[in-house]
Amino acid sequence: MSAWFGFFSLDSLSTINIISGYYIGPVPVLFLFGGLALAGSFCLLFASDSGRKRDFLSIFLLVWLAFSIFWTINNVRNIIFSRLAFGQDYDNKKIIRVCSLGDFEGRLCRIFSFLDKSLSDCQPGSRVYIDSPDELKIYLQYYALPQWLPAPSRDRAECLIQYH
Amino acid sequence: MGLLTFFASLIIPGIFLFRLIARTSVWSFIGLASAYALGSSFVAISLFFYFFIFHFSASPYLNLVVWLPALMLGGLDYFVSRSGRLVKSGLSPATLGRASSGLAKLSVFKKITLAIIGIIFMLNLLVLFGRAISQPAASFDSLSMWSFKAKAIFFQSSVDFNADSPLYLGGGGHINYPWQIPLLQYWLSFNVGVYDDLRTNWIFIIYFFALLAAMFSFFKERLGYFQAVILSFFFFSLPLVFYHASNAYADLPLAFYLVLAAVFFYRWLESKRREEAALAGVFLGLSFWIKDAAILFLPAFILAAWLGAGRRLFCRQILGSILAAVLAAAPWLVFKAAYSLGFANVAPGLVFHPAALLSLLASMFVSYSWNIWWFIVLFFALLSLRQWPRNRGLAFAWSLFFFSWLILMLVFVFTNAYQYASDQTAVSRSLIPLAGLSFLAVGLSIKDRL
Repeated sequence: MSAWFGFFSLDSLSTINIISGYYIGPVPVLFLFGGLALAGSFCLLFASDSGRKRDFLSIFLLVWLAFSIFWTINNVRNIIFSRLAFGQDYDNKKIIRVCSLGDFEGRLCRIFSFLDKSLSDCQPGSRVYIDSPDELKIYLQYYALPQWLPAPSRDRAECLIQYH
Repeated sequence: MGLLTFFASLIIPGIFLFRLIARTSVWSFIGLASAYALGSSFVAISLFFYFFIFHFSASPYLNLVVWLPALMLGGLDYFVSRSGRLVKSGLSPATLGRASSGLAKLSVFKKITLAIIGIIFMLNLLVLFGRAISQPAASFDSLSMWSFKAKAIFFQSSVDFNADSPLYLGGGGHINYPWQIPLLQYWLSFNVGVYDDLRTNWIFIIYFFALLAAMFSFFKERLGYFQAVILSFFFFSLPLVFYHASNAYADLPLAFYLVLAAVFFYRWLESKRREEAALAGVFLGLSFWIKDAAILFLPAFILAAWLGAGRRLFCRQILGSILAAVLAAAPWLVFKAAYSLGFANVAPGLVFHPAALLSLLASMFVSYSWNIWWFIVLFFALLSLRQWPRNRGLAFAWSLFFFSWLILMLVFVFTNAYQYASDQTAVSRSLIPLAGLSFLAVGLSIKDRL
């Protein structure tokens, strides 16, 4: 039930939606607006003409557009910031330098991304930040080092694990 | 160039297949979307036979495996077309007459609304393309399964049938999962020459747009231009659906095939052309090549078809459609049986976890993955309830959605799959196919009401 009671809390809302990674402030307000529109529509459900129903469609449309505007701003902001963030240093995070070209880099970036840390732009020489080397090691062993990976890539991966 | 060759290898056999089955022109949104679905399944199944049935290794001759059957389909289509003209559209004149004309007749208010929608659409299109060219698939299931299997074949050049190998049947998580998505990623990489996660993003983005095209076409024919744009935009701007447009998961492609099956079944209800029912069955069967969850929708489709068509028509025509579905899915199902792969990913047995229902409802109504869509669905479901007995199309669309939701809910509450609802890992995305089906139902309710 806590999820329902936490409906109006921005923090809980962002926790529920880990998968999307979005954080939009006014969303609960918009949902409240949508809920009110719905409740109002129930009241008129059995005693309205098609004109009134068209009015409710307009309300849904307005709520949708308001949400979509915030959603769009957030999407644009995310993709811009995720690019800009690559160049920044965070002193309290461990840093791995991806050292050479090849399939391995792409794989490594995906692992970091899965760990929900700053995503490198997957270019050689770029830096990614993690704070859980043990977890990284597990994923490197399990996902980044399958049998088909060429030997030089395997060496680089082991080197990276020992780096920690 | 490799990317273009890849997409050409999907759409060309798809066009021939669509013309052969539907006997209608392919040059419409729904025609092209269907051709993409048929073509991508055709190529994936061809590759499946090559690697899994005949146990061959990758070689340059793989091009022949894909292109030669495509040419043969072209030849067959040519000879069949000579014997009879294609129908321009499978829709009845009454249906076509209801569709209103385009932009010119819209009011100023509607034009302003469309302009706002256009701006939001374009900005998010840029975001989507930006993600496609900069962010490789990074989510867990893609990392560990869908893309993993594609890489296993690409780097190994064959499928490992040694049961002791970690790469047995492609390796990764869930070796029992179907192969269309990994094989398409493999085939793209084969055409490009390297495995590039960024370029494989385009497979999913095109599926997303094909689904939008199919929906837009369905709504435009029945509701007119303005409502079609609004509803298609609603689907486009569902945050979770948009996120799945480039994350290399199978949920959105599964939604695409199920929506096509529902669209063609509804078209059959309107026109009673056997070709439409056959296509509905084919798309339902092909959905088994996308994701195992397709099996949950099969009973929902059968029940909804019974309600929509009535007993007499169901027995006369829909059984043929079910046969088409079984034939389309058969190679994969036989392979599954032969290798004892099964459908379940959790321990067998019935349990009772009512909290999973709360998670499901929270995913629908509390999370902002869906904007206010499920509120709108609830509104129209109640509004349309009284129209079901006199409108078979509406009865089909809503009962399909309702039975699908019910089956999904039962799976989460009464099986060990409850864990995926409790930890919120799979419950939201399992709603994506349902969202697609609910759009059809809401659209038909609007048609019936306004």
